[in-house]
Amino acid sequence: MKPDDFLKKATKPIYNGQVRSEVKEELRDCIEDLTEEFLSRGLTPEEAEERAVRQMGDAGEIGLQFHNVYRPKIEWLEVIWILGWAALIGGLKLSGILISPPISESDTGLRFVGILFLIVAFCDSAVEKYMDLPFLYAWAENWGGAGLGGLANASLFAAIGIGLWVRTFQQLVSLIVIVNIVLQFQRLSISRLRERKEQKYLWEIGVAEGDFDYQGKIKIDGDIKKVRMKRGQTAKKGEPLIITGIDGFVLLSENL
Amino acid sequence: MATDASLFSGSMTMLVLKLLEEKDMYGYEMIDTLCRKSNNVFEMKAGTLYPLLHTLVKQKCLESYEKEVNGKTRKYYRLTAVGKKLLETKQKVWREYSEAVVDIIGGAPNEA
Repeated sequence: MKPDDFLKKATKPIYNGQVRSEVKEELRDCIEDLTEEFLSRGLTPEEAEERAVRQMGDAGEIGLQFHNVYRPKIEWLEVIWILGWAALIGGLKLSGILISPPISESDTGLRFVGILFLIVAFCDSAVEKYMDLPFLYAWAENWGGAGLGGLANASLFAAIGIGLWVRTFQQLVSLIVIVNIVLQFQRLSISRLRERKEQKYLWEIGVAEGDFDYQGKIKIDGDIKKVRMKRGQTAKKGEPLIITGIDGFVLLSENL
Repeated sequence: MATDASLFSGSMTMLVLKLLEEKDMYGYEMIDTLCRKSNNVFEMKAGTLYPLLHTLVKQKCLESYEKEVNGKTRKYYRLTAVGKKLLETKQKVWREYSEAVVDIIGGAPNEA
């Protein structure tokens, strides 16, 4: 693999363009240093470059790791998802395919269902963010086997709500913008809270309150907190545990 | 010498922090130093090191800054107070662990 191909593949999953180019330059420097090292050992320029790239590791795996470090702040996938579905459903309604015109006289029931969907969407979105579920989590848990059920998430509910409620194209556009802003604000606030909790307890050491091998309680900084043990490890009452991260709002812990 | 990769990966954070305790370094310098100090036992893949460095920066264990050396701009990493604390914890855990292993398998090979 050529250095440029490697760099593209390894940095592609980084969403933020500025971070991506910085990481690219940093990795490029490393490839150049490695190439020089191999040249000094007597390899030809082509061989040295190839060895250097190989020495870097698997580009796809590196990209994935960087993606996890720099997760996007605004979840564009959600925004586009809402936009797409709301435009489709709203379009079907406004064009008279879903119900027969005049729309404003026959859509009372649909509007009511729309509001219900929007309420469910806001609650569900908070839960999804709280638990840090992946975007198409229902699909990931194999609800995909139940047909379109796999597509279910708060964003889809929000889009259905928007599509069923609106009566004009202008309302459709405004509501898509408003719902997206509110949902993103809600999700960002939740992830801020989680980051703050993680920062507070990360690498702190607490004491197990009892024996447990999956989830249990520890005393840390004078507080009692729920923790989840690393797979395969068990906690014994009174033993020290170190906090290594957070999953949803549950702290992750390991034996010392 | 063949090294068990899983043994190494668990302690990599500690080794990186330890290197930076001595002086600020850029990525490749860490790979090179670690390799020489360990007599080629620790051959760290760059692809493993850089995501780790960026994670540690996000966790405020490290800070990064740019500096020009021999006409080339390098990204240097510096250990923070949080990083020092983590290093102390990791070292303590590692010492206890390795002492326990030595207690069981015996000391240096020439004593065995």
